[in-house]
Amino acid sequence: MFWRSLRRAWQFLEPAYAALVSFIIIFLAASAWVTGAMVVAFPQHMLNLHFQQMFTDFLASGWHPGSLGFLLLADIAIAIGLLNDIRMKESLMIRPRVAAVLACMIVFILITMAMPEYGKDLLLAHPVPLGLLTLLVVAVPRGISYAPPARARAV
Amino acid sequence: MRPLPGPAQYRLSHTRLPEPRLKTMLYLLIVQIVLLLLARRLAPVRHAVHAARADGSPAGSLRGRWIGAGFVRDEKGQRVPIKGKFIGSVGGDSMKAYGLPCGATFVGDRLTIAQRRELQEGALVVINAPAKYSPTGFRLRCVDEVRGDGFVTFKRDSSGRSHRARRLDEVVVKVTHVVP
Repeated sequence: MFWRSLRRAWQFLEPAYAALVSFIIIFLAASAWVTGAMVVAFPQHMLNLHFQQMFTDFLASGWHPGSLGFLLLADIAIAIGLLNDIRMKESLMIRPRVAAVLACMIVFILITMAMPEYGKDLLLAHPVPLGLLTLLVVAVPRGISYAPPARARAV
Repeated sequence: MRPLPGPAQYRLSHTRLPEPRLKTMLYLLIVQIVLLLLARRLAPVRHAVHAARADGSPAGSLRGRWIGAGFVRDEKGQRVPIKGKFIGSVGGDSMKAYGLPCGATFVGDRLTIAQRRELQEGALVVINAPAKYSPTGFRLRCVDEVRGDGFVTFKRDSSGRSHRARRLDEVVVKVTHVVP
């Protein structure tokens, strides 16, 4: 009953309602993927909730972000190349989405490769926000790959 | 007297995580999954609809959620309105010739009695009538003619099968958009 009322109330926001719900679902799914990857990579830190220590370890060595990026690329390459997931391929080939992925890659490279070299003090002073930003730029391409574009044909 | 712990036991006892923190992390993970499930419930309902023939239960659940509804745009780049619309997922290939392949999603208007009488030839509609071999009675049809006696006749499906005329009140939805 509660959910029916909430849905009815939200539908007043139409047409933004559907877009908002789809966006929330994709965002939650992508963040769940990133959380899972971090739990696998840093079980001790994650399960002890030592986020500051975890992000310091994560950002200070280029190995961890590199392996996370590789994991994401391998995941997408397997889906598109080996499993022939046409929808995922289409979802990553639209021009604005390509631009968003490239922007994320630039931010990722800046934080994980340039900052340990040229801005180590800043990195060590703010590991949590920078670490969260890094995970966000990983989650964006992941989320985009979950959201295939759909073109409706009028009948 | 209990024996002293061996090296392996010693290591195990010291690497064990403090329980409250471990529980907190588990709660966080559970909250994430629950939020995902709840957000999914806010997505519009998508009914399983047979293509022209109702041969058996359609694959998947009869009432699922259309997660990608918010990403759908029409040919002009506008969002397709879905409020109050009927959303269906095509099960089967027998409407392929009419641009409704298996697995496609469609959006349609629920019809009033007056609108049912004004259906044109070639309109794609959903009928709702009990099916012998399926738990859902939703089936797609292409209208041939609306007869004066309150019945609708339909065109043959992709496999060339004919379909019997249906009463107007069994025609419930007119398809407006197809997402292949």
